[in-house]
Amino acid sequence: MGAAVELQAVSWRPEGAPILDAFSFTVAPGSITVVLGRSGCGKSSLLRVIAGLRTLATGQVAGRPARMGFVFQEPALLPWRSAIENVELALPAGSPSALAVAALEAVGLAGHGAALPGALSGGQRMRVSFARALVSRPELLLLDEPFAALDSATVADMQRLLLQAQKDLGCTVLLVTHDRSLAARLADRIVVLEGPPLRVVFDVPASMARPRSPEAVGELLRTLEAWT
Amino acid sequence: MSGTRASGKAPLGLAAVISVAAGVVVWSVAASAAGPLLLPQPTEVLRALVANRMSLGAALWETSVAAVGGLAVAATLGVLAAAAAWWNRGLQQALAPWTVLVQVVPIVAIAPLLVVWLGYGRGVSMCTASIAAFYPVFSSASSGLRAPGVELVDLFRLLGASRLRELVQLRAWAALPALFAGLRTAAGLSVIGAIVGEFVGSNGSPPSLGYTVLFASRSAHPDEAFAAILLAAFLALTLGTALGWLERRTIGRWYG
Repeated sequence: MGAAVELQAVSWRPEGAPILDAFSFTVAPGSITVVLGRSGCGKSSLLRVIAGLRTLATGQVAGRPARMGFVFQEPALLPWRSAIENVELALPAGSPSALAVAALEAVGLAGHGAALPGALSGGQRMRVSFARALVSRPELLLLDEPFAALDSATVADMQRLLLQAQKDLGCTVLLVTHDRSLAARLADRIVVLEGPPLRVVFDVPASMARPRSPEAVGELLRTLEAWT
Repeated sequence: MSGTRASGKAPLGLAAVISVAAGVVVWSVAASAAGPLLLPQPTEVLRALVANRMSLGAALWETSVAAVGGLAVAATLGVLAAAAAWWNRGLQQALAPWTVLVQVVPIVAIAPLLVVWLGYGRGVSMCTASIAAFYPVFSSASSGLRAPGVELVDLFRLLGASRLRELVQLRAWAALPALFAGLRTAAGLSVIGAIVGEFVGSNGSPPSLGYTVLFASRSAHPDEAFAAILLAAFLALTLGTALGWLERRTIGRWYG
């Protein structure tokens, strides 16, 4: 079951400048929330604050689960470890390697377990990163612009993987991106974070179930266009 | 494309051969002008190398042991000091003046004191070799330990990794490329350090390259001194090559 996360008047001020200032919103359990914003608006910081990787100036994050997966903008793999060893990094010591093998299979990398990251393509490295985030069966999956550096075919594949994993694990997903069409295709809730004071939280109508028709995506994009 | 690259390689190799050949010719011309007591001919140096092969071989062995031993000590202490400085800010501050002191201390000035403390022999040259080699190892290991990007550091924190796990599984590995670069610099310096140590700390028994250079120069045998200098250069080159081989064997499959 996915985690319900609540940000309560969160402020984060690296070197004094407020990036997040008294920011509050909730993420429903098992939902996909997409945070939209331009570069430098604080959306990656928000993700790290939720993950507990940054110390807050004020406020708190409630409901942070023990099991979290994080997919960074870059694959962030250890180049000296094979694909399977990179996935095993997220498992407790002594876990059966079958778990990592299954995670790699789930992202379409069966048979690539022994390969070093340097021998894999950019898309394959991102899949390994996905497998590492999913192998511990996270209750909360955090994704920081995970598709930014990928070609369109790989992006489509990765989106399918994400939706499948979210369905299988029932985890809560929080994704930050600058790509509105991605938000329109995936999100249950869209948070437009263009920096204080403008913030919009929009719940996508339940009638627009995934996979969304091009018309539904177009309608959501027009709504987002009006806000940003 | 590859044809262009292949044809670009040959002139580079040729340029190196021409450069060395030109250097030998210039050396030979200069030696003719200066006379054999000031600058021996390249052929005389080769002749001295062959004629004194037994004593020069023993000297090469002695200096090799001092340089390699000093490098090993410097590598061990440099890596440990870098890890300690990363581990704890207080240790970092405590170590800072000593690491700077080791970097700036003139080996020529400290070598006579080492003779007083340690007596004549290999101990002095091994000490000066390790002093000369320490700072490049410490400096490269320190920057290497700080090489991992913020995403990898965040990943380890997200995984709840202890600092020891972060050091062993992330930072130590990430530091290896920088460490090898530092070790290659340190290898050359360790040979220089060993020879400087032998200038004052060796009494010729056993023979060493530093002692041979000094003794042969003073006894009007510059050809033998040059032969010893060539062997010292050969030793530094061999150490650098061996470290390059070790680097390729250990990190070559994922780095570069």
